[in-house]
Amino acid sequence: MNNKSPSILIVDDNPFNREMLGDILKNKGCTVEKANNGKEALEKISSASYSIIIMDMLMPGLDGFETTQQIRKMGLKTPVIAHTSMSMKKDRRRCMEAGCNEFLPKPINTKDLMTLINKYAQSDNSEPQPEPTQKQPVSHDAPSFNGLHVLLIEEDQGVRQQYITVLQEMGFKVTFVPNGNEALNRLEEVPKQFDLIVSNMFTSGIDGLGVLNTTKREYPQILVFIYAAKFDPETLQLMLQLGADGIIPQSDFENSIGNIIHVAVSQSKHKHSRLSQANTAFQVRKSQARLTQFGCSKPCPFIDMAFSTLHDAGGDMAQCRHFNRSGMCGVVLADVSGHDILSSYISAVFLGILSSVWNANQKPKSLLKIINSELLKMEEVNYHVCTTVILWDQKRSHLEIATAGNPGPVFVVQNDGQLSFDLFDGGGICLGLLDRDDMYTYQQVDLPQNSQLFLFSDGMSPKKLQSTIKQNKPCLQDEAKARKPCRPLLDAYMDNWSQDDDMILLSLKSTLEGVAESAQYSFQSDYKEVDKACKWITQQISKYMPNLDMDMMMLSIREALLNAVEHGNNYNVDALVELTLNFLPTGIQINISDQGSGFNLKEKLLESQKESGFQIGKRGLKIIQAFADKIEINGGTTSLFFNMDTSK
Amino acid sequence: MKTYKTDSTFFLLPETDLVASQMEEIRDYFMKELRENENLDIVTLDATGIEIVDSLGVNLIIGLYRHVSTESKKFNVINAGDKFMKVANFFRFSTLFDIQKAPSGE
Repeated sequence: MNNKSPSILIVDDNPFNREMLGDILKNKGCTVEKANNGKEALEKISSASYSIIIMDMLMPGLDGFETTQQIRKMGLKTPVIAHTSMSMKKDRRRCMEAGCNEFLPKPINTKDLMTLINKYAQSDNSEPQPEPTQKQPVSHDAPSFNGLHVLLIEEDQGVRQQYITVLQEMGFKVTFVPNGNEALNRLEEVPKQFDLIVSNMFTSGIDGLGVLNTTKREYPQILVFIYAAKFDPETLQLMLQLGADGIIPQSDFENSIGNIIHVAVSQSKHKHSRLSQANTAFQVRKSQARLTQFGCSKPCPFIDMAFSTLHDAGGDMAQCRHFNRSGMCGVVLADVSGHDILSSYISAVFLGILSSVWNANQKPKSLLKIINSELLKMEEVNYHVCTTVILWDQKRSHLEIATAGNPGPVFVVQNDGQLSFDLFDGGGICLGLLDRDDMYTYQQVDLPQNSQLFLFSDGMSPKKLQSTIKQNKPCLQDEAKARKPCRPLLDAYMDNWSQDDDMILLSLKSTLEGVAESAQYSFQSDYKEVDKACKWITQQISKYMPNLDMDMMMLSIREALLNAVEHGNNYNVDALVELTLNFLPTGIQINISDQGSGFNLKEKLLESQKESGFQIGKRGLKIIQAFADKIEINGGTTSLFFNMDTSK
Repeated sequence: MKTYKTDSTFFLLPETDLVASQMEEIRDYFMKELRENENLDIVTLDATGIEIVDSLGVNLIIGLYRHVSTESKKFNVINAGDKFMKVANFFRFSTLFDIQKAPSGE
């Protein structure tokens, strides 16, 4: 090992791994720093230099891949050793593509570890920031910046003049403006004039972050570099996620800017045509807006969603679907790793797979399994997708939830004006990583009356959401606001906590609102079973309303059950008919679900009316309609309503 | 279920609800009995014991009426309880054939 003690940064979310690795390295004479996650790692890297970084690749939030990519974007060449349990060839390749130098599989082999440490310690290139640039504008090895036009944004006249001199000495043509507003005006006037923007993070009006955000959206061909005396980690990460091409410490501006711009310009040259990329990015942005498609054509009062995107590409997706045959609903919340064009491509692929397999794989774990196997077939594209899948039986207000890498939901119950919370387990292995289907979380949840479940992607924290809900109780308790609580809650969340990733918030409300009592029954599609079901229904109603004359009501219900057996399930004895009996303040509702795709109520009623009085009518609708106060058909679910005062 | 007859009338007595689960058996039995007793002029459905009539039951009653009518015979119902009458009134059976309520109103 080198005489100089190598400084190692260990990045791992698992404290046991962190400590164990730290102890090994300390015993071997290394100086060790530790970071719990990618964000903390970037914070440390921005303020200190390390000989080597040992990076766990699978971490919640900013994972090892993204963290390494961002380190490279910062212009740092510090060796990164990918330390991961993913051991397939393609995993190794993916680590290298993210910018890692070496691959060290878990569990750790001390000998291999020290071989790598010695290798990089001997060629220690720890860099407070990238190697100092020579004072002369262009050294023999340094790139030529001749002909590149920089727009410098700096308010302080003295600093501005100093930086203009530095940049001009490096061969840049320099135009300056004092703040972001003027910079954006200038870009609008002559968008193709500039190749780079170098901006102070803090200027009056639109600051460096605003300039960066707008430039990357409107003029993606322009490279953007931001400098400041000090960056807080949240801002640093946000800048990188918004696509900053380089972050420059102001204390070392003169020495570091050359190398940082050089790295960014070199990388940009590898990308064949920046103009073509800009066009593609524009198309991606348009497509991205379509990735979140929510709700059925008929408004559903039990679900709400809001989202806030931070990136042009990749990010979060949410979809829901009503399954006609089972009468249930499916909800999928997914977050594709990365925020580039390829991640948008993966989003589209994901949605394609989802569309084609969802109906046949409604059970959450089954759906995760099949999507995972399809994603793994794409060997050349190594992205992963954190996913939550829900199968929602609205009739019973029952949910089956499986997560693959996403946080668990937050469960909220209202009782006498008080809110109580329960944070559910999340996690599991993301889709597209491993050929394993036993590493997802799964749980079943009943949503009782006055309760709801909040789902979200890893851009949000369960505890912060809980705190936000507590501070904004009216969003859940005020009748008007409670119908759509997600937008105000998400806005409040962003006011309280900074946004460093895409955010998506879903709320699933109990479907038992206003139901005094509910009972369920299911039976096989057989006429004798219809008799038993009618007996059960009669008993249930008699318990609740002992004096009710229910002869004609039962006739109507019986016809609906026969309809389910004969038409919905086509006499298939193995197919179940499911009943839910709800006692509402205004009467009785019975939902009857079969495996059929439903029918057009209006059309069948019209056909029935044309028949003579002695005919039964299509699907027994004459009888059903005669004695039920309302009929609703929703896919394979027929709902009958009988008005009465159940409070008596 | 059973049948009985007088000089000119053939009585059908299901003694059970006219519902889907019973229908195949009732229909087969009554049709067989009707074929074997073609010489009688009146066919009467004795509704004693019938409480529930579903759509298949309605179809059976209408089917019996049509079958009997095509042979120029008379069809009627006797001993109809209240529940039976509700269905009979809804489908306006009385415009097709005579219905006699059960004496006790059962």
